[in-house]
Amino acid sequence: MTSAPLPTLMVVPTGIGCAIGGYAGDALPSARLLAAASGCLITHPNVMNGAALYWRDPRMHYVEGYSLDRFAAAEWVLRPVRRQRIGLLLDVGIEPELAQRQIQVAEGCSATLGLEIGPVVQTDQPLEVQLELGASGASSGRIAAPGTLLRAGERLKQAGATAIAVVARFPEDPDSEALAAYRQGSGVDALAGAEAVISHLLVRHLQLPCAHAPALAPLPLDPALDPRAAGEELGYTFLACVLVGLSCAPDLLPAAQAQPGDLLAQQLGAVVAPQGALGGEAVLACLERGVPLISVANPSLLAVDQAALGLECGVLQASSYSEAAGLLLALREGLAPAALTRPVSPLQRLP
Amino acid sequence: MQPELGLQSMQLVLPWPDHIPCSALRGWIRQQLARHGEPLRWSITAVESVDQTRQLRLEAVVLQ
Repeated sequence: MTSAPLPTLMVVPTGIGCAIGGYAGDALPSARLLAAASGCLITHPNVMNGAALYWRDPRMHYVEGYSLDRFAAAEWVLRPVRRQRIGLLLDVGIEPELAQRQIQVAEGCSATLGLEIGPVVQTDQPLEVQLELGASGASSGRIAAPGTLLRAGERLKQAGATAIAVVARFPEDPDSEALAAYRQGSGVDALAGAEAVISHLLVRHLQLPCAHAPALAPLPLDPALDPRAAGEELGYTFLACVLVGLSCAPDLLPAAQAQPGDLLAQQLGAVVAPQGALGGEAVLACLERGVPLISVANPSLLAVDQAALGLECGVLQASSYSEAAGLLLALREGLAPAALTRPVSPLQRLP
Repeated sequence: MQPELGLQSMQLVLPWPDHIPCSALRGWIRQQLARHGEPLRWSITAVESVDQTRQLRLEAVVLQ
């Protein structure tokens, strides 16, 4: 492959039950393929995080959702780095044994993977995560004390952390139908929306790469566990993937401070998103600037598709991420995608 | 000094003005949300046709 990379944004919204990407990092194989096709994939933790499972590829840039929106809107730029120093922010509401599990995962990632992690701070009061569902069924949520989260984040930044991994104690309902459905491969990740709000708050305030892992008690063995959810039931925490992702996440800078080598929204050659989930800020920002949109069949709760948005033309439809990869290759090679399908339309003649 | 922040979840139904093309929708939506607070996380969750006009359903979390 000799063609220059084609910077590509891959979005799989969290908390809407996407068939691919709505579970434990199960969009990661698709992301790896798109990264190979594009040579430069910018995507967010929901795509990359498989709890105990993860993959690192220099062609993949781990960018939290709020910062992804700011990048797509050309407000921020991404500066690749060799290594981040990851501060660990723990909710004081996590019980001591579970908190110690988080620290041991971090220490293991430091000793075995060579990640630079530290220091560790606790919030000065429990975050008190509240889970919510929107009218659409999409996952959302809040925390009772945003200030305590931000104070802890500032302490880490002042102590030299250049990225922050945050772990919040989440409420549990192990007998809920929603959890059972999720574990068996249907329904929505009920935690996802609140997780996004937590990381969005930190990124907005600190302009540092941040990502979140929930603290939950281990679940009993489920022989019918869906493979897509399995990554979250291999250990005591969801933290390892977050630490690996953050370890080389790009720095976030205002667009006015861009330097050669930074990734800018103006360089985007394509955005790839699920067919019915085109109504998020990053995708809409790309549509503002005419970035080619590849809409992939990936069912979810939502039906905000090309037709709903009145996009009569200019959207490339893919029946799978494999097909999306082919379209990315075509774009990267300068091929007109229309030349790859039949029939080939005759040339337009102007009156 | 930490600002005292509050988070508000909201669901809005907004008529989509005919003069706003899809390419300008993001900015227009942010303006509508800004009346309630600073948008932190939001998405269009449905587009509906009502009496030959289009309506947007939004779900959002804003800072107040």
